[in-house]
Amino acid sequence: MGRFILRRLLQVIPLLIGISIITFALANLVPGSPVSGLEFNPRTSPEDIARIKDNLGLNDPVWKRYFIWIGNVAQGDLGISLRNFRPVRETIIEKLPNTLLLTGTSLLFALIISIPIGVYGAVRRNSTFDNVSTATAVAGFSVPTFWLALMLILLFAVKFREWGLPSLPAGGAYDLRGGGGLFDRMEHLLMPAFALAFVQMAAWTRYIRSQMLEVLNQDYMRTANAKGLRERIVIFRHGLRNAVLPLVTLLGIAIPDIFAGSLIIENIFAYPGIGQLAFNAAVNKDYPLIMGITLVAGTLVIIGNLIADVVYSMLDPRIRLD
Amino acid sequence: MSTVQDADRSATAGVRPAVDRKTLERNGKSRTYLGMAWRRLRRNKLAMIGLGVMILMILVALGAGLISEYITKREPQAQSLRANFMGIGEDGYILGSDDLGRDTLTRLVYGARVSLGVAGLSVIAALTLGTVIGTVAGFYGKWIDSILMRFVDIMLSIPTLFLLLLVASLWRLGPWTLSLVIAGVAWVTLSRLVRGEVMAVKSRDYVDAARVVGVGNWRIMFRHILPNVAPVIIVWASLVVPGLILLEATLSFLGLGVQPPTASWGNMLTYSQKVWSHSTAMVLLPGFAIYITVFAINLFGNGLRDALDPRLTD
Repeated sequence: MGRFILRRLLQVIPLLIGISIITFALANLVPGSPVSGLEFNPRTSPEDIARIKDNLGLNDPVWKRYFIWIGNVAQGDLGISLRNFRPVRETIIEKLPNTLLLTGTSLLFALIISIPIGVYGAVRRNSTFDNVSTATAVAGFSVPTFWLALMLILLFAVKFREWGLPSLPAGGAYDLRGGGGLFDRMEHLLMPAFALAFVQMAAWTRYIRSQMLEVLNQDYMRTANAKGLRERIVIFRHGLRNAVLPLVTLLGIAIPDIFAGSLIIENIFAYPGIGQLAFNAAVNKDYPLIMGITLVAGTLVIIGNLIADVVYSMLDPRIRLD
Repeated sequence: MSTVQDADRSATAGVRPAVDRKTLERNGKSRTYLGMAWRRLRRNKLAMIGLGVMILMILVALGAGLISEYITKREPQAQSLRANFMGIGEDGYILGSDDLGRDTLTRLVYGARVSLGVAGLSVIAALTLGTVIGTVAGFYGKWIDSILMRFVDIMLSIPTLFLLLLVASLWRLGPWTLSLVIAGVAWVTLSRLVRGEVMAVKSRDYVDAARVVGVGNWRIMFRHILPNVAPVIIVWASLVVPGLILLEATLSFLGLGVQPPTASWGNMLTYSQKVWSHSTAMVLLPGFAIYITVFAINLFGNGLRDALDPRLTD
């Protein structure tokens, strides 16, 4: 077990280095430099420009600048935002909890909804429930997330209010006028988390259904039935446990998608998280900030996959053997 | 005696192969791999509906000019402030108009051209890149494989949208560059798939046979191995196109893809956010267009996967 985790940890290092190289390379491939604006200013002399360039380290070769940058990153210094001159690290740490709350809630939604539907569909195969849920899942898989989010807002925030029904808030993480309580935050999370979970829900429902169908045909299921156990126990104790196992890997694969989704959702719902931050940074051409966010998002994905792998190897001893 | 026998033999020899070739051709036509796949696909009603909708959408995109000329009789960018927020079917505006009086149907039709065009172009570019890199990695193995696949791992662990955001913030993207950038992140999964298949195929006997005859590496890769990997590539393409359409729409929706006034389904939705208190149809229609197209291609792609390789069915 310890060796497996160690080996997996060692594999992470080249990935992290690779991500940093790609991020750095992209930002440095851009034509122009931070001082190119000054070059057109008649009041700055060429000596000044040379001095500024020297101070910023722009005369160094690219590989040297990369090592300086990565050295700073390793010490937790992601640079300073070009927009508001605050340290990038501080800004990200401030917004990250909101994003983790949103993505975590949506993962929970997706699991809570897809597992029962998938299992029930497999157990009652070809029933009306199964057919309807499969068709919905196939149809749901194609829904554009941002359109779904707009539709939710239009219905539950705008139209419900017009009709005098209890409506949900259209955006934000909490009510700016004295909000921030538990209920207030949950109310604000409901729509974005559901919209974010929707595609995953559709995909996982189909996956769990097919996994469950496979498990139902296994010998141990027949044995459990033959022992005279009640159907409920056979399905949940013997079946579900085995069917849900591969979902851990699927969860790991879904993490990048969910992060990407949070970028869209946070911007539509004006939810103050990493996604909104990244988008604003892109619009403002705030390179240090967007480089920092890309790096952090990539690292989080790698950590997520690592955890998924380790958890899976704990749950299923078979895969540790190879 | 012998001449008679010879004549007899040559007569039968002359006739028989002709008959054989005929029956062979008759049977062969329906028993080729693609022929059988097509027959399986035709039986799948949902996939055929998907194919129909897909073809319809492509025709609409290609005929956008004709539709604006003869059916809606309006240009996509033509404004008319006296005819803003027309309802559906009002005053010749078949699907209504926006706040500047631009005809929604005309813009949707031109949007189809952008959406499908970008998706089509990027899938072709991604196919080329992914196939070549996957084949090379799978065929040569060893350090070439290690380097290429570590790169693929890295690309897979950066969330696509964040990477695209970085690129879009650094360069200004038009439809062409946007397609290339999308292809630049989309090829990764294909190269993995192709690599696995190539590794399986390259140990087959016919590859050894080709090598014995003296065929070179590149010819073996692209003439002997690749055709056997083709089904995987085709299925990947049909299943990834919907995702690419969504990606283009998402980027355009965020304002980082196709820029207004050029209509794309994504930026029409962004625009509709400003005016939705006046016109619900403007929020509904572009999203519906994306949804129908993506859904149809997904249905077709699933059917195609089942038809080409029943083993891949989930």
